[in-house]
Amino acid sequence: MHPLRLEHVTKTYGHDVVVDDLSFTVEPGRVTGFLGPNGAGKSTTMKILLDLASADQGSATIGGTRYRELRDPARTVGVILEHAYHPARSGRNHLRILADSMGIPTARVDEMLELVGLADAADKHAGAYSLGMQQRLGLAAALLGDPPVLVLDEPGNGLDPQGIRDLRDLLRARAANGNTVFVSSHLLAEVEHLADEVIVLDRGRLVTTGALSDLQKAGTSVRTPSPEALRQILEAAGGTVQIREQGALLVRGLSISEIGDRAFAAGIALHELSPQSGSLEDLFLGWTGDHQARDVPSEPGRTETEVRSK
Amino acid sequence: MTWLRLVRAELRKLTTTKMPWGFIAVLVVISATTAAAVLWGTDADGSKGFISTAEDQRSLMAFGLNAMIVAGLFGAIAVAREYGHGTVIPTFLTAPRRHRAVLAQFGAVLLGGALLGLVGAGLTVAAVAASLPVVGYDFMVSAGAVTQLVAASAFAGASGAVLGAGIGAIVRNMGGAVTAAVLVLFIIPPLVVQLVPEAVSWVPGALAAVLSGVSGEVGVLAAMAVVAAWGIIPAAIGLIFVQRRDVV
Repeated sequence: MHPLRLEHVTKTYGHDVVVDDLSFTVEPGRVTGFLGPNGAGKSTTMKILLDLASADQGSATIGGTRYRELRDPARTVGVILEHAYHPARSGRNHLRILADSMGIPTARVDEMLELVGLADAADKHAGAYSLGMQQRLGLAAALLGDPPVLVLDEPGNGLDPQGIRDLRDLLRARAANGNTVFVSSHLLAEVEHLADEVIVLDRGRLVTTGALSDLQKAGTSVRTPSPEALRQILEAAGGTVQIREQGALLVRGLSISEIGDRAFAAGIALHELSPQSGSLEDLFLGWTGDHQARDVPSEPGRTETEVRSK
Repeated sequence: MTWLRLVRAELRKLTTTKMPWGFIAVLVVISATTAAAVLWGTDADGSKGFISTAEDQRSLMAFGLNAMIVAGLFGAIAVAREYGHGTVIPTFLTAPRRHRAVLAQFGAVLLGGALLGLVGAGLTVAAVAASLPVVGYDFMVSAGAVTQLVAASAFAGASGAVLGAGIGAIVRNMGGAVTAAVLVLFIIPPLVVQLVPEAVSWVPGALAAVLSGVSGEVGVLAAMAVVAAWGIIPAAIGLIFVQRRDVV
């Protein structure tokens, strides 16, 4: 088992803090989505995890060991980071080079080309590949050593619907076998179908992390003719309240019964009291759009607004 | 064994694009130009004095400096393109202790540079040997001297390639690495000699001439050591840079 663990990782380039005191754990047996807007620091975080970039502070480990200390790193972690191939080299030769360096028989190259559907284009120059074919080549490279850990940066980019479904099935199957699957993506709908857990990053800081199903239910929709009065009562009780439209509130940090009891005790009428089940896109925009609590440290399993309300 | 696997991968990198053929084409052009010089070239007085003796012919065929420059460009491009195309990422993921990957890369490039030097000298000797009879001259250089010419070219090529590879690892940009290699091998040495006349015996041209047996300015062993240093010093700096920098 190889959990991925970051502890208080900070990375700066010049005056820019790219990763800011970031801590999280990616557990084996689950598909973990890594989300964040462009420039949030996802790729840098992955590079730190893979010892391609050094952290200024903190530690990043794979199965309790730094990447560079792993016994056979390329066979332990399969990686897609960016399109790392020579455009004038064939897809087959690209994989053969990797197989040479990893000590893997070339027969495995043909297996991987077949698996990702590139067998017919294997001898074409990789520079002539479509974006989807490039992604398939990257996936073949990541799977070459049959690693128990996958770290994939935007693996679904450019794939057609069938390719996305194949990728999803493959990653879920690997997670079901106890492998660690860590996938960054900006395709929220895809992550919604794929991930068991999500880690959300914004401007280098952890915004939220936890089981996607829990996060999607992590709020209560309340409708009342006295929204301001109810907001004050619920915030005093430790909840985080967002007034969304006339009379409608989104409450986090308090259970439905707590909200109902406190409204009843205050004599405030409620016209709706229901668990909020937003789409990942709604949640993502809510998480990354709220920068007010940026200076408050987050904790695993809690949204930043929840932490603020503590 | 792991390091040898890395060398094998690096050799496959070098042989699975058209780049080596481009450099072979350059060597063919150089040897063809040398043959043309034999066939139609003359000294200032209109004579063929430049091919009239064994020493003259040997000087004409001395390929060491050319090998060092051609292989220097080869090494610079071979390494800098790794950063340009991002192929250095899977390399460093396979060998996160980067000195192993970089030494494998330098080792493969060294072999490539030696081969380019060997082929370049071989083609030049063949071109001269084939064209001399056409203008009424015999090939007068001994087999031993030809062997020394070819060996010197291979050695200079190996060192030049490592020099270029070191520059490629430092600069990481292909255009910048090629420019830096030309500056280091071709443009800066004569300027340094202007500033420090004592350096004249230690610049690549003079050292290659010693290795080729057409100059006795310094001893052959000393020349070998300094030619090797021309490659090793930038390679060592490149190795340090690669280990300290992030891959971005």
